[in-house]
Amino acid sequence: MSPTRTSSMYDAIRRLFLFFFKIFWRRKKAFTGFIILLVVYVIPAILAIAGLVPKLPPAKAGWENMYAPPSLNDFPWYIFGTDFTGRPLLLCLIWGIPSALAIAFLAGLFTIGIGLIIGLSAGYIGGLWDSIAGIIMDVALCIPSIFLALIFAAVLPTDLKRNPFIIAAILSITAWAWLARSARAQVLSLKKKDVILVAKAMGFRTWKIIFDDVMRYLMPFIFMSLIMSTVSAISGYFGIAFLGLFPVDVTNWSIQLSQAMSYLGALGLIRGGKAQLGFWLPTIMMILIQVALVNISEIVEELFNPVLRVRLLGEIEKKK
Amino acid sequence: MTRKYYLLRKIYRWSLLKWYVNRVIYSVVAWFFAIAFTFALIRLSPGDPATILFSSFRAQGYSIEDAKRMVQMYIGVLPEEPVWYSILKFYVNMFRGDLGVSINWRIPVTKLIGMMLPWSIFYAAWSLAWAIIIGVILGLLMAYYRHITILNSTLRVVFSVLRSIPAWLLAVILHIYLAIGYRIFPPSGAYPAGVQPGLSLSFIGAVLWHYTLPVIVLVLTAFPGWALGMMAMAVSVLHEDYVVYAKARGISSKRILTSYVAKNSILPIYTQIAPTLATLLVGTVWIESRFVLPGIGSLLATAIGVRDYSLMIGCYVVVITAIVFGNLLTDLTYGFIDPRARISEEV
Repeated sequence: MSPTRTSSMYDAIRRLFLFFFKIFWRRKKAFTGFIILLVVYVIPAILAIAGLVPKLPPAKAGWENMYAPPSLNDFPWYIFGTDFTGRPLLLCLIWGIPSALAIAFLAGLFTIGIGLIIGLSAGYIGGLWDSIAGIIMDVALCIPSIFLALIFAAVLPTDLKRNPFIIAAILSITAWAWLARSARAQVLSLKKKDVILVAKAMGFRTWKIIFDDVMRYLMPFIFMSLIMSTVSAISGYFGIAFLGLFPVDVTNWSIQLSQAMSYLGALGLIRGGKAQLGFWLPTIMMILIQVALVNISEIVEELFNPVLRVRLLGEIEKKK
Repeated sequence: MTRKYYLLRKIYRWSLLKWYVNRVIYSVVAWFFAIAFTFALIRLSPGDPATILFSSFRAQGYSIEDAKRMVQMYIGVLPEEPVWYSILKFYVNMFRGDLGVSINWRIPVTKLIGMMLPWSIFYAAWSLAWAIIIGVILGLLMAYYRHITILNSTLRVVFSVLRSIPAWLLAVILHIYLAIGYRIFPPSGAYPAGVQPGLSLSFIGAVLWHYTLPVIVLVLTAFPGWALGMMAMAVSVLHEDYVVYAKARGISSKRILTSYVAKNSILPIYTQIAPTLATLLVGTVWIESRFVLPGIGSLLATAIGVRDYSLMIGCYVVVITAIVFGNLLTDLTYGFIDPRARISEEV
């Protein structure tokens, strides 16, 4: 490769990074959300998968081991005390991150995948397929996704519910309908644009036009839907787990929460009792990821807006 | 004049009627497929209720014929039937008013649902009313005082946090702290044991008091969406010429808000009622079971807990019917309340 080419590639990457940094810097809320997501969720998950976090110790029976207060021995795993099985709470929370992130992200991917395939093809191909897809969308629209997922979580046998792909599939079972309908509407309005007509006249294939030109316009919208469906999948997953419909697993935050809740409720120890950390930490873990994702979604529009990108990059050039 | 446009108006009216009829047919078809699809998926899934019930009756020592008869009585289908046939049978039974027998309570599902439905309707409608009132007023105020940045940005942060908390999680937190811990609100039941149900003042007061915390939970999760939608609409209305002119004429801000802005920005928000109702109905599964209230939600939660299949499908049918009916009603009535939509429908 010639030196000029490498330098231009380097330059492009540098400019991309600067652009991302600039956008995040302009929007403090999204920046905070991004940092929270990275520090609280993504980095611990990577550390856990890489094997840098010790495996969960076996459960310790006994009243005194349940919700033991924070201690400094075996630093830092016991700084939040123990959970209802006598395992360190911090480890349980950390080991819950990979599966939660995987299920949420998979559900988001399934949602936008199905939604885009049905919506884009219905809008672009039209005709009989459009009317069939229209009926399918209408049916899916009137079934709340979490509601159907609840029924399926109750009906399916337990060994299937250990599979994250199946959980993600039942969580996104009708969630794609909004996306499909909006994608169809977007394609219908884009079809009349000159760009698409020219591409058609030049003899490009249908799918190439869809992926090169139509998707370009839809990108912010797709990203937004990915984040939103991830958020609702997280809420639905933990909600269904709270009802006890997924296999019992101490790394599930929702099960930790429900155990701490029964402990607090049964003993009436709300004021200054044990298990406060066991109640609040899983709750915060569940809420924080949703707050972070919702805040990040606010800059999606700017991230994919070419006009804004050119303007911001122009500012960077000027400063140089 | 009237004679001249008679034919044109007749055509308009016919096209409008056609639109209404189309809408109704479409809703009925969507409703039919929504239930058939779920029913088929459940029948085809590895956890097919008919097979599971059949094998559990066989394990209890019933003969094959008896076990089949019991399955037929409880959920109305047989394990070896093809799926299309059991769907057809389910629909025929449903129109006869027979949704099977609850395995848990041993009484007909329709009777159970009939007992619980009024409570759920009251709960959903009461919280929806509060969410709309609070959301609309707050949205209007936020739009009108949008130049006060501190207020607006604080409210936006609060709203984004509130929208991120799922209703069931909020119910758990408020229930354990306010009802069980500090005993401010009653922890369970729709009315205290000593009160006779009836149309007395003490009964209504007790019910409203027992529903206060559950309503707060649903309102807290539902009103930010309303406030934000209302604010967006109201801001765009505030830029209209007639509002600017009204301000220039020195009309009081209260009058501008109520009769100029509110009227015009509330209409598009009207379409949000049906989706909100759907989310509220689904949320009741967690909230009603947490606060031990009677209703479809707690019925479904119990049914799921003990795998009471006929009751599960019965509750599902009721909720889907409510959602489809709500959607249809908003669509049909929207033309009456917003003349602009009526014109665009006609043309």
